[in-house]
Amino acid sequence: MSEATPMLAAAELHKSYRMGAGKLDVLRGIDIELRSGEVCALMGSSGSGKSTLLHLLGLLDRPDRGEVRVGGQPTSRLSAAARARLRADRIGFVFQQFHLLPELGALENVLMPRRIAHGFSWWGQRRAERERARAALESVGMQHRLGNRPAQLSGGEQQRVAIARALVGSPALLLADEPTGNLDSQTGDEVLALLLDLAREHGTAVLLATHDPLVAAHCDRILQLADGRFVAPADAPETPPVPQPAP
Amino acid sequence: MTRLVLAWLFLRPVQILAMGGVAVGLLALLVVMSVMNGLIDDDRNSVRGPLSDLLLIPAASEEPASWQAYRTALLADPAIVAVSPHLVAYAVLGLEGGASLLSRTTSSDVNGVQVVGIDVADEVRTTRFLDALEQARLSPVPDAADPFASDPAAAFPRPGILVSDNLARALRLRRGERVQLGALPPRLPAEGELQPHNGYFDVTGTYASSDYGLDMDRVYMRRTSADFSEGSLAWDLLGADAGEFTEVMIKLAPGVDLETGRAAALAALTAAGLPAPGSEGGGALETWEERRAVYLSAIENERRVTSLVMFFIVIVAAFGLFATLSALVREKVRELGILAALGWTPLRRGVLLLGVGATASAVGTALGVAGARWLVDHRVGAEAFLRDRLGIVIFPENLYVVNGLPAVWLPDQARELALLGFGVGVLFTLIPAVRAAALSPVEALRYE
Repeated sequence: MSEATPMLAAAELHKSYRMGAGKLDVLRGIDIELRSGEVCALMGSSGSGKSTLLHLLGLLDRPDRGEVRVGGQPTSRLSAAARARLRADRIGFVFQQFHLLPELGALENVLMPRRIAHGFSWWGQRRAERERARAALESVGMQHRLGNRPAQLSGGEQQRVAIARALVGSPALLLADEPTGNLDSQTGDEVLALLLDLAREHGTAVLLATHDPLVAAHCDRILQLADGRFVAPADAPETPPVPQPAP
Repeated sequence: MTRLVLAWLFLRPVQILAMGGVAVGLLALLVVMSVMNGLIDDDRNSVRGPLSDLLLIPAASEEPASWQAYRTALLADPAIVAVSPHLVAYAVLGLEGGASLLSRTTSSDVNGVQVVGIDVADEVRTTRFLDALEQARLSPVPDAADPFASDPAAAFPRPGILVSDNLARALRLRRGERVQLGALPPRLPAEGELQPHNGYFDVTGTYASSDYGLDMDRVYMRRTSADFSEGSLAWDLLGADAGEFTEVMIKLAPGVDLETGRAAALAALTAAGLPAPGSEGGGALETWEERRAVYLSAIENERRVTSLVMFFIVIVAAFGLFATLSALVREKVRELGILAALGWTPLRRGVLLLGVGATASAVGTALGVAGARWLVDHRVGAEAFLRDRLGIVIFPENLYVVNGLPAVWLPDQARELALLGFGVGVLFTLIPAVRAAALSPVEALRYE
């Protein structure tokens, strides 16, 4: 991939859902580009299509029309298995609901993407992966809760584990869907700062869906989604004014 | 994946219940099959009765068959360890009060009997004749080595015969009683009237084989003897025209299967220049299983039907596994969505569910086999427990002719049934596995 190639590019994305006899157009011609290290906020009211767009860009769903390129690679003709492998190799997710596996401890949850990406591995490699997962948890301040299951962790702690899981494989692209939506404001701020610091440290392109202008204010640029379209240019002087965080 | 398989398997009580279902189903199947094996072994022993491994009816020839020639020829082959001649005749048995006996429809058929002349020592070596003597309950012989010996206290002893416990019971015969046998001569007279031969004989004891039908029809006596003093079938009933023997019992060496033994016997006869049975001269060389083919095929059919019926238990248990795994997929939709988001391919998600099902099936199968083996090994204790604590008698003595609870554990059969049970379990997890593989990641993540 050349320097000029965007990490994530999508052109003319359309997505609709059947609603009884009719259909609901959720996305109506979305174009987007995201470069390595860039942190972009995706704003919009509830039901504006933020999550749907993230799912399309994260290769969890297929658009009705349009093309998503990850690292320059077109994905519309890839099989479900190939898309899954691409996700494992290049994309990390952070969800509002944390989505940790409840039966596994924090360390095992963080290890999971490494195990998925590498499949079978020898003992030495497994040990290295374990060390790497441990370091990822340490970087989010969770080194003291390695064996704890999600049910034994607070919301903030669960999201820290989820961030460690998303970044442990050094993905080129991180998609975060309302990562602070289920956290109180102080914890949310801490988690967001951590997420962005680590992403910038890894040079990861980040697309962060939020409806909170305070969260969007931390990003390099803001995309406003309404009615299935971006309502302002991506690099937006026209983006809505961002309220300043309270002192 | 292993960690997840184990977590999804053992952290859910309902999954453990499904494993238990497979275990109980297989345990029931294996225990019942083992008991069936035991009963069938008993049945085979009963069906075999007094038969030896092979039975030879010599082919007819111009010269009367010489027992010594046959004996020498057959024993020359190392596959054959013992032979015993039978001289068989059919006779009518009469006794004091016989007229009233004949008038009773319930017992009139017992008077037609097969009289088998034997050489005791050869018979003991070749068949289970000694067991039959030892199992007699009504009038056991005082000396099994000479079962036809008359009571030394008898004033005018007649040649001895052995009747079965069953026949003795039906005709109210006891040791020392005198009966009359009447038989046609072995060859029809060239001219003149046909005169039946008859003679008096003393019952010297009873025997009990495991074949009721045979017992009711058969009486034993000496085949032949060097002089008149001892009495025999040839001298005292059939007369001078009787041949030396009509049938040969053949016992094979340990480890020699029936077909190999038959080939060896045929080769031995041919090598000695004796006529091969089954050719133009008639005769036959049969295995005991061929002689009892109808009974044995009925037993085998019984085993097959029982296996089939019992295997439904395993299928029902597999349905339990199917139900719990389907519930598992529903319960774990979101986790499957998370795994998809992390990069698990549809195939891998399917394999995960298959892994859960296969592990449950394997654990259930292993527990079932181990439990069945334990129960078969400890069946005496289990039977006593059921009888003493719960008052349940599995085979009441007044209804079944079975000593305790017979069971035979066949490792090959257990292995086959275990593999089949495991295979059915895995087969029933395929549908949930396909459902897990086909889940849409987005719908799975949104699932509440």
